[in-house]
Amino acid sequence: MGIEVLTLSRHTILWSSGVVVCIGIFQWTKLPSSLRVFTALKTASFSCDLGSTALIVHKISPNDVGTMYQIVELGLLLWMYYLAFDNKKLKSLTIATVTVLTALGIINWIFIQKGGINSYTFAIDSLTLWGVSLYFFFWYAVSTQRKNPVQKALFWINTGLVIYLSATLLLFMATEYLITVVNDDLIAYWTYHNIMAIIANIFFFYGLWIAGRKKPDAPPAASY
Amino acid sequence: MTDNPDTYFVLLFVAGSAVMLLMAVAIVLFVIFHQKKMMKEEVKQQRMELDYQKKMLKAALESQESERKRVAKDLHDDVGMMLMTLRINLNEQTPDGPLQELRKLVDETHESVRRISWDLMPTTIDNFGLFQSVQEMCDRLSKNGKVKVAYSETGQRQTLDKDQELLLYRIAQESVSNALRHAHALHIEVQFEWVDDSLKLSILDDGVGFDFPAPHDKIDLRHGLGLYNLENRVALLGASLSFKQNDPTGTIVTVTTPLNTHEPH
Repeated sequence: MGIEVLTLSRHTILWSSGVVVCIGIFQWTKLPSSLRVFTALKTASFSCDLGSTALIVHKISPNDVGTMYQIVELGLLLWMYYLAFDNKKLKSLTIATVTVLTALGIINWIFIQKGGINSYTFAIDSLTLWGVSLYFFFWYAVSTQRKNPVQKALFWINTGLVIYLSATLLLFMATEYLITVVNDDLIAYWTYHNIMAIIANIFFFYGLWIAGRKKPDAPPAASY
Repeated sequence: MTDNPDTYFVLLFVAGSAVMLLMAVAIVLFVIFHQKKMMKEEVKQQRMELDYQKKMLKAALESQESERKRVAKDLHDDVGMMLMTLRINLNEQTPDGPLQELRKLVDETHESVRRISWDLMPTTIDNFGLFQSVQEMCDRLSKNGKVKVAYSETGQRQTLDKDQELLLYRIAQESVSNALRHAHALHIEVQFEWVDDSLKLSILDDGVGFDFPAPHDKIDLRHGLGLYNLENRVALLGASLSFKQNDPTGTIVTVTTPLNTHEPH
């Protein structure tokens, strides 16, 4: 697997993220607040991918942009889940988690891994988000408000996240080992990561697309 | 297979990622199927609850009808008979005397008792059926000259069972009563229309109208006992109920009863 495939996958991520952002903005008025936060996140993701591509073209390392996005992503995704759970009791926990992990991410960025790949931040944040996304499914399964999951936008967005995080969690956890011990160039691994991100974008697109669809009218109450 | 630790790492990484990916897909599929199964069970439970409510409603209405029948019979047979006897005795004892006013009062009371008894349970519904009874009700209401209640029936008449007939009669009676008492209507039309596999009952009036519920509103006791009873009877019939503004004033109440999908009570 060569650098060409990696470049192609990176460009595909960029444009698939762009499409997701477009549908999110197009449906904006019909979206609940949780999905608006998600659209904001995808807009940040698209901007960072665009910035990274520009930096790579100018032979500048995009690691700082990636780290910054990772820190922003954690905050926005936890905020999205907090709005989706609609449980005020989770407010303090969400704020505490975001504060602690953001602080750790910034400390790691400034003092520990600095301008390199911030693999510790990626690993801890991905593990946290993976846990929350799995909890979302558990919450959804035990929820008393039964809804057909295939008609629920957040279900598909969470599906995209669970699949992406499950597939890439080990990669994020092993990045440091791969760089320092195996001395791998990571091309194959990042290509794999990018393919999973493209798959996730397909789920995100579908989720935002169905979020704006008109729901069928309820039958009139006076009819039997 | 090489003994290179890097190869082991790659294999371990690929296997681990594949397992996690499969787990993720399995969780997604589990949530979809679990949720759909729970939805089906919920629908089943709701249907059972609805059936139970329908049975309770039917029992309540049956009990009400039975009680009405008993009171109507007692009024007609006992009180009516006693008033009749009293009238005969009065006539025999003082044919043109000072008790003329009393005789008039007895006559009026007797007529009231007969009317109340008929309203409670018209004898014609058992003997001649729904349409004759509704027609008779319209004629009786038109008799006093203050209001005109017209009756019409169009289309090919089909057979209804006794329960359906009684429910439709009560619906017509309640709607006409509402038009008279609340809307102060002067002209009312009760129309039966046989359309293919359904019977449409429409009650049109020229009254002041009322704030009828919106098409999506569930009718409950907040809308008044009359409307609530109307809704319950419509539910038992398996029919649909709609309200519309009449032109230029008044209301059109329409009850459409499907004939082939009626569930036996």
